[in-house]
Amino acid sequence: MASVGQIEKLYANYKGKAHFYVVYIREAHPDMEKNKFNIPQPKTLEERQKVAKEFAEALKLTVPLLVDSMEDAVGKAYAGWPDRVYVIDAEGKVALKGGPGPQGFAPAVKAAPAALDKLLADSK
Amino acid sequence: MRLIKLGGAAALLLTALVAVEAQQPRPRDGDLKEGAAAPDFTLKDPEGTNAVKLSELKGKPVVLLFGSCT
Repeated sequence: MASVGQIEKLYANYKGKAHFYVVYIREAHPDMEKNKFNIPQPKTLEERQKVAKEFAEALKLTVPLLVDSMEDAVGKAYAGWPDRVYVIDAEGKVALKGGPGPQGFAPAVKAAPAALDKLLADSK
Repeated sequence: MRLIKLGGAAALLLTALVAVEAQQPRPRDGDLKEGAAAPDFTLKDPEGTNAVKLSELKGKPVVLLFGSCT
């Protein structure tokens, strides 16, 4: 997941007004030596939880983390892999579906404030 | 002769690339549309202690950021 700085900025600006979760899903590029993080694909939930924790610590990610099941149930339901942003309104409807990552991720983080502002204005 | 060898090497490389490509999952767009109900889920934090159920997050929008370390 790129753009942690942008994510943290969004979180800092809206954390009182919206719920935030990073859903940690299947690794996009495991076992790649040239990567900054060369890690194997977790094979058990315990491994996945451990990698998720290390990932948050290494990137100084403070957004609360949720770990997807080993069947990738939530990642699949949302087509979240390799990464993707959603804004969901207070009634549980999808307000913003970002494009698929990696290309679609940063633009969606940038689009999130306008989507959130609109939802927050409508709920007043 | 050299050309044939080169051609053979190129073909091998291409085959290898196609094989690697086929193994890589591709991002999918899925059927979930803006305006549709977000699929409910219950997931736990990395400690495995606190569970969060999407439909129980009341009163505020929810930002979900899907991703992994790599």
